[in-house]
Amino acid sequence: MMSKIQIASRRLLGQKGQEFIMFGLMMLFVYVPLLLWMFVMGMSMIVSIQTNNLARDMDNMYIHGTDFSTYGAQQLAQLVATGLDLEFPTFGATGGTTNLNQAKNVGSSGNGLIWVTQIMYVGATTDPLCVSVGAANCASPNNFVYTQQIEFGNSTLTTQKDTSVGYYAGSGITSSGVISAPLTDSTAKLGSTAQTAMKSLWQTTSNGQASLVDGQTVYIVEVFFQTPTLSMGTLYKSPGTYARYFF
Amino acid sequence: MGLAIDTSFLYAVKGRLQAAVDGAALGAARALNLGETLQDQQTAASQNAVNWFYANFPPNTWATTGTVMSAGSATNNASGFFSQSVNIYPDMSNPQLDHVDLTASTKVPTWFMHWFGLTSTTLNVKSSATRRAAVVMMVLDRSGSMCAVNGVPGTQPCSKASAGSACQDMINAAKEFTGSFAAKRDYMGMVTFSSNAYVVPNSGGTIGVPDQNFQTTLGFTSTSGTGPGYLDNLQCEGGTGTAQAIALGYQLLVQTALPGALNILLVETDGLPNTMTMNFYDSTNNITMLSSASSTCTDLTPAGVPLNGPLTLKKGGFNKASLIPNWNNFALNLTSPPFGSTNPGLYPNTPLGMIATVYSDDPPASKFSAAYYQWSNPAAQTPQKTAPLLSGSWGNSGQYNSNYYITGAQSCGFNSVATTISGKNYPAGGVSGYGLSQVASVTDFASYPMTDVYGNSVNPSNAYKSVNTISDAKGITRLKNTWTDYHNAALNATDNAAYNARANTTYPAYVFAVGLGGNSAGAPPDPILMQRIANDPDGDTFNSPAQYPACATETGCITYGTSSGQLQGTYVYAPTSNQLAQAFLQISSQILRLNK
Repeated sequence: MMSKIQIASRRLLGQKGQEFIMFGLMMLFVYVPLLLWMFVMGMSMIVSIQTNNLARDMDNMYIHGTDFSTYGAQQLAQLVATGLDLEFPTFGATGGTTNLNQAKNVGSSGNGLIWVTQIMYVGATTDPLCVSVGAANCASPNNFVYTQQIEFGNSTLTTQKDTSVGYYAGSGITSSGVISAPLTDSTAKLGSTAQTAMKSLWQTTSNGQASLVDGQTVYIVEVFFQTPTLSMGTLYKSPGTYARYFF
Repeated sequence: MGLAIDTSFLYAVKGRLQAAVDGAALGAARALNLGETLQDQQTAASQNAVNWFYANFPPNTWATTGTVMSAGSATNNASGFFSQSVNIYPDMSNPQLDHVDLTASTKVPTWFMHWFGLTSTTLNVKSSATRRAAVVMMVLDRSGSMCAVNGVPGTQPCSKASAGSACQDMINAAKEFTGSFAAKRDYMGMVTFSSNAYVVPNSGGTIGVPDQNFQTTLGFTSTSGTGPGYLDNLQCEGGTGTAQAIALGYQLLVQTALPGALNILLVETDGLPNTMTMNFYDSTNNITMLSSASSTCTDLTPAGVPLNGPLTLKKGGFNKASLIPNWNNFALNLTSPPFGSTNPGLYPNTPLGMIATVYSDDPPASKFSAAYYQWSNPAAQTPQKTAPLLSGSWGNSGQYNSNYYITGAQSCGFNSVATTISGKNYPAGGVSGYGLSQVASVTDFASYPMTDVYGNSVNPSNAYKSVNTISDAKGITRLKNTWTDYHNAALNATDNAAYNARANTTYPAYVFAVGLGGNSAGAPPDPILMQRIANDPDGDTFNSPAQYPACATETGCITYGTSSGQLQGTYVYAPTSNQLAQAFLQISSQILRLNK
């Protein structure tokens, strides 16, 4: 008993404060970063799950007919995205009347941006779609074309993450985002990068898949949220979370 | 801590896997319209499931391994076909509902728990989607204006062979439309209209009730190929009797008797309604609506002239307003099956009477023409008599079959003003006087009834257009005999026909509408009327710039919210016939979204 006390006293005399230093160093270089990493990972996971659920739920609503070009539907998406800070402007007016549909409703505030896109595969010129408009008028045989595109949220976020299916670049898009003449409008064809990406995803025989046929439509919802609260100054820049679903 | 991280990761993967299976199930359900046979459709559904699943959840997503998506259970035999990846079976309580079930599994690695020997966790998820069978009745306009080529009136009659005509484009678009639905699973039928409405028999040879062999009957174009049918034989000419066609189309839709299905009317037209079929004899009040002062109508038919099948026309008819028609054995037999008592329709049985189709000019002209006829029940007639109308002869001879007219009475409605116009090739003994000169006032008529023979009101509550009425000799309210009133009444009756179809609580129907512009310079489709028909509150969402505003901003436009029990369809406007195919595509896309 005495011996133990002597040993303790001797250590206290010679090593007094080392545990504090070691503990402090461990806290500084291991525990605090680990806790922070844990926190960031945990929060990122939560946001990722929320983002994925939002994309999934929106795609489910979209394929069942929800019109996301209306303010009400965009507000519905906002409700589902509670806590993620999805913001978009109120609808503008045309001729003194508030627009009922607005395919592009973007601002510069908030943390989220959503793209709702419908693409269709147009088969060969001998396939029904091209035949229905006359093969000579069929602008995009053997390609994906946009049939609808809606975008709302904070458009400045495209510098961090942009849509994977590109943007319809023509003028034949309505206020509800519908492409008026997807078969005859050459600008309805997906851009080369997006076209390649979609073909590699859909026009493939990998994993037992088979190429889509003429007229098959894919309903896509893409969601991106930046997560600035999860960044740590210059030490760590949170990449945000992105989710995309094809229904 | 490690457990928390692994659990969170597991939860995230499960969410993604679930979404992938959800997408696959919906993709599979959507593919049930691909293929001409049930087996082809199941194969397509199975393939779509694979396509959509791996598009959403590629192998090795988030370091997962051993991902498998398959169902392949015994219940697949409910459809009679084995499938590796999708299980399709009908609903127990609603046979018109198909369930599509999928399951998937994947192994999710653990990041911390593998230090304790647990290297991965297997996730299993399942998803189910449903697809309701669609019962679609196409109501297609084949009036004379459909012969226009690039908006320039064309020669009538025209057909699929008339290059560049709207008629040709409409036929091609309609065949594409039929091809987008599932043969043997969905139901479809067709009514076409010009000055009258014409029903295409279904594969069973009965009158037009939608059935599952529609692609064989009507013709189709799809990725599976193309097939000929009645659509290929359509000829376009004549007036625009939209109201009766909608009413008849809905009548046939109801007789399919599938309340659990998605009941749909597709109405395509390129102009304003201008023709109604009316009964000018009010049997209840024992009075005709002829003008006793000016009418010279006389039924010259000899007594006992044999008509179709068991029917015999007796001498009778009318020659003055005070006389009662005496067509005892020439009843307008919508009282017999399939139109009548055995399968009661939702419209009043058309009474015995003095039936006439009255065609009015489109604006800005303001003249009339009319044809008297009795329309007997085709089902009650012998096949050889019904054949010209119902089995493929869609030209003049079939369209204006003499069996459906009262020989000798054709000049009624025109007084003595009428003269014959050549160019109409009606059958011998038929309605040689049908193509009579149009007159500013149909002087034989003192007034018009307040409904057409299908029960469509010319002045319903919430009427689109106001009409003037008069009281007849017995104090009964009638529609005033002016061009404006008749024109407005035709619009109201059309609106009312669609309203009746939507408002029925047993068989509520979606009404989708396609308007074709550019053919009728003076009378293009009225967007307000078309929005009302489809019950579509939106403005033009298919053209840029928009061609018409939202219903709420237009005078006279009324739509009914879902709280009213009325379904909301969609109106698509095609500015030119070149865009008809894309307009039909929009509609089929909408419908195929609805039935998931």
